[in-house]
Amino acid sequence: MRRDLIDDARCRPAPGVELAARIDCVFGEMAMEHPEWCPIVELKYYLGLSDDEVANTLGSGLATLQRQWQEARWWIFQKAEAGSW
Amino acid sequence: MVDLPEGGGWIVVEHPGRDERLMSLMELALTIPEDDREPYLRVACEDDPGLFREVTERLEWERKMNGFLLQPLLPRTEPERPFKPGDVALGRFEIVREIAEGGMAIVYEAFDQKLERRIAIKCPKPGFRRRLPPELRNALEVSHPNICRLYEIHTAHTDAGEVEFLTMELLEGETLLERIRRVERIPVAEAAMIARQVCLGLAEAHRKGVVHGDLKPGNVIITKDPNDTIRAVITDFGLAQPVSEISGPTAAAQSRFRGTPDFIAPELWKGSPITPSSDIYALGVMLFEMISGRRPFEGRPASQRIGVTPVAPGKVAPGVPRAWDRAVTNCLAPETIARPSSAAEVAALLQEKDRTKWIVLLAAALSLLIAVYVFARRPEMPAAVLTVMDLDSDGESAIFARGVMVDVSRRLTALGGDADRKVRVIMVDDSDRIDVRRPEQAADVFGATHALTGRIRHAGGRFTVDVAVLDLKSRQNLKELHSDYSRAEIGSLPGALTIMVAAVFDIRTKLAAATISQPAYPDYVQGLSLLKSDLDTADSAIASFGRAIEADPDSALPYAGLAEAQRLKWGLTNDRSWLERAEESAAKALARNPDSAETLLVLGKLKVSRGAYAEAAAAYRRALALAPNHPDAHVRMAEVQREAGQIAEAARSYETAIQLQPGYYRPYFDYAVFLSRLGRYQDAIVQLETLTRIAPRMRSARYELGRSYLESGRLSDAEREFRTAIAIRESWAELVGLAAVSHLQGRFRDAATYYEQAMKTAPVSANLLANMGDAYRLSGRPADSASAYAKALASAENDVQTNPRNGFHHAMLGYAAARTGDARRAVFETTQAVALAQKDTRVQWRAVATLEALGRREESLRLLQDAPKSLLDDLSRQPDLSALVTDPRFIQLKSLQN
Repeated sequence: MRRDLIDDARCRPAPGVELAARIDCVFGEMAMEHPEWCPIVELKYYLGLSDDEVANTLGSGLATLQRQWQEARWWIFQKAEAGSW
Repeated sequence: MVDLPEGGGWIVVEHPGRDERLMSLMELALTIPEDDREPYLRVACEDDPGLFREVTERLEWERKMNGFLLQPLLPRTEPERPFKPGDVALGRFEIVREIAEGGMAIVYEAFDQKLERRIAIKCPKPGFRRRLPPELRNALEVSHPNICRLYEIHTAHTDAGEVEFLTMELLEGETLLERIRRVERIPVAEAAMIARQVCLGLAEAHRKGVVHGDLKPGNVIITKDPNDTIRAVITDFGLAQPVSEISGPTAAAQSRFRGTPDFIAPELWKGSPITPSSDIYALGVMLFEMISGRRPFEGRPASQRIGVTPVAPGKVAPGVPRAWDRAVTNCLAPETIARPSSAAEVAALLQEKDRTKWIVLLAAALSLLIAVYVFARRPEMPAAVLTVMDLDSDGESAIFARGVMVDVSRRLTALGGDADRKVRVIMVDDSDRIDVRRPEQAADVFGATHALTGRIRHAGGRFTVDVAVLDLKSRQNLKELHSDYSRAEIGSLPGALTIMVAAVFDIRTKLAAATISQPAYPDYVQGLSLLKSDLDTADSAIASFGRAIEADPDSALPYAGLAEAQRLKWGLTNDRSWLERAEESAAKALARNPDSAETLLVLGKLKVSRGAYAEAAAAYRRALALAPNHPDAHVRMAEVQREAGQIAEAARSYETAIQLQPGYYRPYFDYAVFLSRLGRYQDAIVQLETLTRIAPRMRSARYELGRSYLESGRLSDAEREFRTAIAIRESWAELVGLAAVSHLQGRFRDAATYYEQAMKTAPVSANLLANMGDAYRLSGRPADSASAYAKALASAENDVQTNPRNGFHHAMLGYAAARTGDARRAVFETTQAVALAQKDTRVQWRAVATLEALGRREESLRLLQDAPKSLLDDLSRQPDLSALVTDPRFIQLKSLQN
């Protein structure tokens, strides 16, 4: 799904394309370290669902989802800062 | 949103999940200026330094990330608006125009083509949530004139996919916020009207388990009802929700706290979930703003709002009534426990009149009265005893007033806490027994110092209430309540009266929330009023409680009342099915409110009635745990112990009860009855003589004293007491006493006449029928005698079936069997009776009478080997037992005792 979306985005002049492609690069690493974050990042970032839609979809508590989403963003942000992509 | 368990009582989540608290704190911190965040979080996380570090760190992440990843890769392609004017949703709802746009939702005016009425439609904005919060379904259940009526949740298929929307009442008018902005300060009279309506609406929602969570003037619409009077309506119930996007670009706009941190209760600032109490806080802020044009803590940073009580509105604006200052300050208490427990209570506080020096003339037409008694002021004693009584008056108002008084007295009794030290409540039925009917009498009998007195008149569907707390010494009113209630509103009266009494005696115990709906209240109160010991009223009480249950099936109170009424019915008819029904009702009441001491006491009585003493004791123990100083609980416990043969424990319970409330007549009375059953008539007489000094006109005390004299052979003293009792009010019990005196004096004809008189009103009793049979037999009327014994037999059979563990019932059955010629059965039952109640002299007495009737002298004498002297003395006086008492072996027994 992620791959299709990135390809789809590449075909359209969307501002986040570069970022999306880079995130895709660290996705494997994230899947190893924090597999529970993967669906959250997919639904939040790639599909743009709202927090409660994601919480409903994943069957988790809203606050817990929000905490994990924040942690996932911070993890990815630090990778980006460290220039590891 | 908090869910109510059936029967009321909030489940307050004191420790929300850590994630919930963490994210709540994040959300709140993000709504306040950056500089204020750290001091705020230090106060909010006082109890948890780790949490402080975590929130601070995460705020730092957000600062550094600056919105990183919050813009999704593919922006949503949904239209800005789910509907536009002219659209017809679901082929039924024609969108007329957009009325309002909030953070997360849009409100449209629409026309329901099917029902042909104008409505409003609320629809989540695209990009937020396409589903309405599930909690909204509870809000759909609430129906109240001061709450915006929600009709239905529908799902429409739009280009953007499925969208849920809500249809609701269309309200036309300005919001309270707009009105405050327009006029700055709302005039007092108008503010009072709006405040009262908002309180009533909020109270009803809370009662149904719905918390608002975002109460503020912007969510109250001021409109007009068909009579052109102001109607204040709370909107957006059930729509408050935890924020959806904690840190998205729209987070601030979407936060439930957006722009209005002024209404956030201190515990919410600390990350606790919303509760009815946080609504009460928001209500307080709203009242503050209405009456003063300002908000408490205006401009103060969050860190200075937590744990601080704001100044009263009267300090920031002139002309604020003192009742408002008090009510608002209470609502804004930093601790939830200190706030009024219901919005109805806030309404009552707002209505309170200031103290005046009004001298009360006690008119004969007074229809209700509560007297407050102050004991000799020993510091360890409760300061006051409150008794509740109804006065002579007639018509529906009197029944209603009596019911309200019963309700108020129960509420005061149930208060617990420091109320137990400050006030003692005497119930209406007690007052009936003492026969005190006016405050002057109450003062004479008990040295009463205060009375809650006044009247309730009912005419044309409205109740006019004029009540005051009267200081009986100075004859001045300390507090007054004058108000007019519609039938729908009258349910808030007992709460108001309770608060009034609590205020006079400075009771700081948290008052319990009303737990019955307004529509059910009048029937409930009528039922309470009718809980008296006679057949007609028992039936009417059962019917009244039935109607109340229909009107409010979720409330525990009418079920508890029904159980009492059904138990009464059992007592009057001896039909055991009523006992079963009563237990079912009590179980339903407890399922709805497991913490009612009152219901547990009723349940205990029911268990005692069918001999389940262990279960009864368990019920009473729970009641005592809930209300350690309940006037009845110790006495009831003593009764169970007595029935279960735990004599020493029972005596201790009675003595505890007397110690707890030395000016309260009831424990003396019950202890005396207990003692006299043990044959300790001298001890009983000591208690009863104390009691007749406390309550000289208490008929039943006179009667018991007469009985004790009778049992101790003081026949003329006994006759005097019975006649005193009859002078207070004639009843069958004293007639039976006079019959017994006559019997012992050998005047059997007179005895028979007294029994006949008594039987006209006495409930069916094997004992009474057997005694009557004796009187007929000894006065030479064998046919009447045989008929009375046969009835006694039937009655005793029924009693034994109902409660097979009661020794006295078996003893009566044995005697009746002996007198109707069934010797084998007589011996069988008598043996059981003695085994079941070894110390009960009534049983031994009756057993001896049976054995003598059967000519079994040896067994009589064996039974009397360890009998107390009092029993031997008593038997010696019986004309019917002269053969026994002249037996040399009996005389020897007596001399051994001496």
